[in-house]
Amino acid sequence: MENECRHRPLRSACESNHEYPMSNDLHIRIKKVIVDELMLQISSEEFGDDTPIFGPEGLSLDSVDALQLVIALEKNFGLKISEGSEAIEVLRNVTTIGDAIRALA
Amino acid sequence: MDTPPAMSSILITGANGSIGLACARMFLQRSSGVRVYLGCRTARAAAEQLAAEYPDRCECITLEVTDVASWTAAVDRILEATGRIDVLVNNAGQHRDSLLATMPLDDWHEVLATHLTGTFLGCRAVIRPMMAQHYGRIINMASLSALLAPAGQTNYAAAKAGVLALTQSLAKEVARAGITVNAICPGYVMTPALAQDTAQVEALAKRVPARRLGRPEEVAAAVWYLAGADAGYSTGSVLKLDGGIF
Repeated sequence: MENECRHRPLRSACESNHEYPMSNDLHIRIKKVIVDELMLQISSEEFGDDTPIFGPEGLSLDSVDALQLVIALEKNFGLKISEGSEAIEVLRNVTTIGDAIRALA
Repeated sequence: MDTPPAMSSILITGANGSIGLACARMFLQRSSGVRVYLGCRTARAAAEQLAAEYPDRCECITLEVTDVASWTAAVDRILEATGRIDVLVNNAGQHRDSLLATMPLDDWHEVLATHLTGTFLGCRAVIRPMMAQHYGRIINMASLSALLAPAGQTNYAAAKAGVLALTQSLAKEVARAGITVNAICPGYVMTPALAQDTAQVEALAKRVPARRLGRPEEVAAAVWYLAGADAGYSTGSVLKLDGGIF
């Protein structure tokens, strides 16, 4: 069950998204929540805004992480995510999570 | 992240019974930093008496463990009052013993619902708040019958064996979130009703290598340990308290 990705830097750290320059602060906060709440063994600087949260090319989080992330996003940002297709879309990467959070306002 | 809270909220189901009461009393006596919620269905006189002894730290709440809405209301009540839930002791239970060939279907369903579905619903009700707080202790009361599977208890033994499997599977799911899930398998435990029947007590004691029945306080001591911060590395474990039977 241990996720080996938690112990290595990610090659996609340079993928930070430049389409949302105004979102930097929010994206930094989201990354910090992901790292802290999921107790990942990487820093928030080691992955980009468009790094896939799930899958081998990204953070490689699993379904238990996904549940933890949903709970953490609700706790920290008030973002309630329904199960199913909405969750898949929102939890794609930091940018999509940020979009969902901004849509709350 | 696995940090025990300064003030713990504890929910015990089946809290009007001997083991539930012993658990509650032990928490209340050993720690001033706990708030204990006694989950009871209908019979609740003994639980209310205990709550009256500790009016600031103990409260009876109505809880039908097979009912989703009842769990939601109970957990909401605790979260509203304390903002957290740290320990769940799934202790509610019942017996409907008979041989399988003559067992009414209702007796099968009732026992499975109370023990297995009730445990599932309890775990599901607390798991999100526990994950959010990165801390939790779930203790499921199974039974030696889960391991021995005695004749006449197909429903009860199957339900309790299911509780063990649920415990071990859930433990793997939530370990990284600072939540432990463990089970206890008591053997013969003395109850006030059983104590009235000396012949029965003696007959049961002869089956036990320790030559006596367990006391509710001994089960409570195991719950106390598993509920504590020091037990953070024990998860998915099955602790049997049976005087050496199994």
